[in-house]
Amino acid sequence: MNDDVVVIDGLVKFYDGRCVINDIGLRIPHGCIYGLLGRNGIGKTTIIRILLGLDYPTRGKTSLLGKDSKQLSPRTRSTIGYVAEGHNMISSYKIDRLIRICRELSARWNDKLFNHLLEMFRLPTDRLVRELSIGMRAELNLALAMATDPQLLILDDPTLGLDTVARRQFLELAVDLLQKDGRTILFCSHILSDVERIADRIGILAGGKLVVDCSLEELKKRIKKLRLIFPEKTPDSLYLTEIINQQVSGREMTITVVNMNEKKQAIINTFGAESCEEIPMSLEDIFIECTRPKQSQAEQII
Amino acid sequence: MLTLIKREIQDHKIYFVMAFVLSIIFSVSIIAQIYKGENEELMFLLPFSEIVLAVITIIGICGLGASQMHTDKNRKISAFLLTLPVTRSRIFAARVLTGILALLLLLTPPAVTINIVLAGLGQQEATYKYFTVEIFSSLFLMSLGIYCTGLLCSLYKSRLSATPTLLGLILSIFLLSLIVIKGFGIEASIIMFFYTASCLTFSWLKFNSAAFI
Repeated sequence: MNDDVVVIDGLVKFYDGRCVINDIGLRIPHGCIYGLLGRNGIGKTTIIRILLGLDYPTRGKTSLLGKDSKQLSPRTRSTIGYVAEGHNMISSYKIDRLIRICRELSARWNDKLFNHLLEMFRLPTDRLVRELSIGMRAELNLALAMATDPQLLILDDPTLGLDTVARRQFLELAVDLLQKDGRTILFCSHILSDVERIADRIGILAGGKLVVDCSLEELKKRIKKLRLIFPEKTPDSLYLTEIINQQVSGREMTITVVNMNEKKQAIINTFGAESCEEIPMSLEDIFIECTRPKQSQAEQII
Repeated sequence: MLTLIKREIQDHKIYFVMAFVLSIIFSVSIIAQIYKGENEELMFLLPFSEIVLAVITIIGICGLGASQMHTDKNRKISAFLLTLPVTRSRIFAARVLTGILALLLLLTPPAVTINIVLAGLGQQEATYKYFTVEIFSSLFLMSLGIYCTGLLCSLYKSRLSATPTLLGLILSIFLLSLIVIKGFGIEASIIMFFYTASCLTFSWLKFNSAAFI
């Protein structure tokens, strides 16, 4: 049986003649917390909208919970929680009216869990949505998405606008509530520390392609940044494959290499570097390296 | 679906109140027309008041369609509803059904009133048929056409007018002139049916496009 909750095959999307998503393939297994990273406007939200059937792909297929995205029935949709970017709830409504609508429209509504979340977040139900702070709106949105008991939770930049403490609380709660039951989360953000904290697997979008798709540990293990100092002039090229970035400053050369191994180290040594030092990389550093403009022409790195 | 219709009605309750009030005024006006007799004051006032009422009604009907789509865009209502297990087609269907309910609320009481009054006067079956089938269906289709014009106009950015209702009203004049030229009847109904269907189709295509939400 196919255990993949999210499947994307050869996804291509053009907007006004511009290729925004270029042949992306992705599979997210059951129970995984997947962090989808990318710079602003790179197509993260577009991918989510295509997955949910809210937008149409130019080419390719996508499916959620084994069902084609274009034909997601309300029954299947009721097993998917979605927290959209910007927490766009109907701002002129009172919160209790919004809750009533969500309850009536959802096939699976867990009143007990929802009331528990309302109490935990201390959300007032007699106020208008527009009177809530951004943090409270995010909490309300999360509570509404969670109350449907989703098998898959899609969070599109859910912590945007939240302060550090609120962001951490929000994410920890989402993970606590959902992952203990083995549910799947597709989490989209450009706040890397959030992703680093909760994601099992990471995907990085650059230049319309998914340039990275692996676990965080694997990513950190496979991408290395080296500082090489040469006795005289730096060589023009190290003749290494899979260098995603190379900077030269005087006698110093800094390279970022994918799949660093002994063979590559031996090639570097032949150039007679005085020193070869590994620079520790955070996810942020890796992200910057992977999403540099020149990477836009690159194929998948990992 | 009922939840969605209920939400639409609650959001546009002012239009429903307006439809109800206008339907009572129209019913009373019909009774007055039939029984006006030789009352000169009434004969002078009725045509004038009917024109004013018709203008208010047209603005109201067009305004309902425009307001439904306009508030949706401004308040991002569909954007939120689509995060729930709701499809675009259901949102759109609920919206149009709400519009139809408002039109029925506006037109049914006068139609019923005409029938009761005519029955009281002992009119022949052909007169009933003319009033209930031809006039009612023509008026309903015309109202639906105006309503759909409102829906459609609010979906497009208009260079002709600042508000979608105003553009809708300009287009509605063409529909009204059709009734003035052709009169009530099957021919006008067929034209209005196709006009309404095309307005609805374009509205649906625009609403269903990714650009709307």
